[in-house]
Amino acid sequence: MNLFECEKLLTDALNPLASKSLFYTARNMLENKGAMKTDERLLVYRHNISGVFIQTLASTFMTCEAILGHACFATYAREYGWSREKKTGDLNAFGEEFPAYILKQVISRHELNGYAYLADLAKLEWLIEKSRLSDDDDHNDLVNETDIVSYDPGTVYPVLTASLQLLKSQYTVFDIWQLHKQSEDRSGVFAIHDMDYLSIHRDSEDDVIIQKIDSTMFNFLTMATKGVSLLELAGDAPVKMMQCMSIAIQRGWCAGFRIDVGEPNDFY
Amino acid sequence: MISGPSNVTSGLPGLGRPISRCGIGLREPHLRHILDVLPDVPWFELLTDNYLQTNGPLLRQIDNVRRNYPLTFHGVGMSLGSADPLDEYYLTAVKHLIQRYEPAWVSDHLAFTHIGDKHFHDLLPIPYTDEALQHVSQRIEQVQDFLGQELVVENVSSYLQYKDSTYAEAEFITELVQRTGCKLLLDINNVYVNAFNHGFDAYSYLEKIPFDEVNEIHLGGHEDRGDYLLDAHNNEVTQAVWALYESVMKFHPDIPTLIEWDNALPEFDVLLRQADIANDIVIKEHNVKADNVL
Repeated sequence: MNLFECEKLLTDALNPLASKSLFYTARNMLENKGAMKTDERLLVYRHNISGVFIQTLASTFMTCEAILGHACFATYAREYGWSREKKTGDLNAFGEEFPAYILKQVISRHELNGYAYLADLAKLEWLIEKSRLSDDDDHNDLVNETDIVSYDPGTVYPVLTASLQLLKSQYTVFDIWQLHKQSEDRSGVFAIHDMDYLSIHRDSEDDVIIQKIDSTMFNFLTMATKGVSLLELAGDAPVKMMQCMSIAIQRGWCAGFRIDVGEPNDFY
Repeated sequence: MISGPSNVTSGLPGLGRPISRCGIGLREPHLRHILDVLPDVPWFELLTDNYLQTNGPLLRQIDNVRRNYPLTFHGVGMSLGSADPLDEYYLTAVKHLIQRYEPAWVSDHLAFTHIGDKHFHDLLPIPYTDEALQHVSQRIEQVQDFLGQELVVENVSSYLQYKDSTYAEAEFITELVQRTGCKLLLDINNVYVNAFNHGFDAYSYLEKIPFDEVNEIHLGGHEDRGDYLLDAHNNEVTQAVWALYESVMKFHPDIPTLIEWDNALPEFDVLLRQADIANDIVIKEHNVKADNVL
């Protein structure tokens, strides 16, 4: 057996979702000196790996864990970890697809009836983590709001802070998340069908701030994340755009402005 | 060629101080305390895998640590033993950190953490065969070329061994050092754990280690699970491991040591006390050596 086959067989056998026959085949390639039984040797690794999956996800998706209970959350975390395809070895990125995984479970598992909001809650927790770990803003080549008046609005592009994340949910996930943060007693927690528009960003003290915003502001920020100019943002409502822009600057969602006058046109 | 920030610590006190005596593994919950108190610790070891971002609040805190202390880097993601190609993204991120902090050295493990389309985030043992020796040697050389410095390779704790292995672990490691010029990070707790789990003599293992090539020693706690020992890094170093450490320090008291503690993390002072024990052993062995010279 070459190195690749050996490593592949071992890791396939460690996967709790794999067949028992693989486990038995892998057992045959192991030496057995010492007091440990051969099965136990494999099971220690299976347990350790699952433990990393569960611990990593639980540190980000704390509210989801609290709602599901540790045992149920651990089952999902284990299944997610073992079935997840390799992206990078960066554990900080490990939870990235967990909200999508939870959404699939909510749709397909009858025991999750009544937990339709859970996928959005997972998404909120992931965006909080993403905001916490995001890069600092690069202020090079940016100008502030007082310096943009002399430019054509078609050449001025607002740059949002790198930590800004946006979430739209048809459930009141922010209230649920906040309730869990404040109290161990979650008997009164339930999801209400009512649109939540949320902004999540890191302030100057490195604290992650979550704010409820209205749909106008949500749409404005969503459009601004696409890298459009002030002219495009204004559309038919320049006054409304100026109001939104002013709030975005005030709350620290806008890091500054990029001026792009384009290359000189020497066609003529 | 990668681009990155210029070194943020040039000319500051941490730079150029030698790595000596007993350092401590830097963990995020201790950061605030360390930066407030600036404890008397000769150096810290940074877990590189937790800081793969290009910038942001986590790295800003490490900038502050680096301004006051020398650092070494310790990683778990190189997957030196994997039959997969090397992870260029990971290595580039590590190189970025090296440029930023100029650590005294960079270490990772003789193990694999990913294969095929899966990442396991655990240190899995490899078979000690000629094929593996050639493969891992090539990878270490590739990593050293990419990072532009010697790599320091650590022996891992393990719970299984392969029938196909034709080398004992200590022989395999010695051969790796000879072929690649890499250095060693000897984890004495891992030697003890493996000796118990695989039924060999830890002292005989140590006799085969080329100590001239050992840059660093790791000490950590394990858990007794009855018929096996778990390298849990969640408690104090046991008496048996201290005895093994003392037997090494008797002949090699100048090798720097590091206290590792990852789970059920206690107050920082508990780690300091573990480091004090290690330092006392080193002082004792130095005194014995001096007496013998006189």
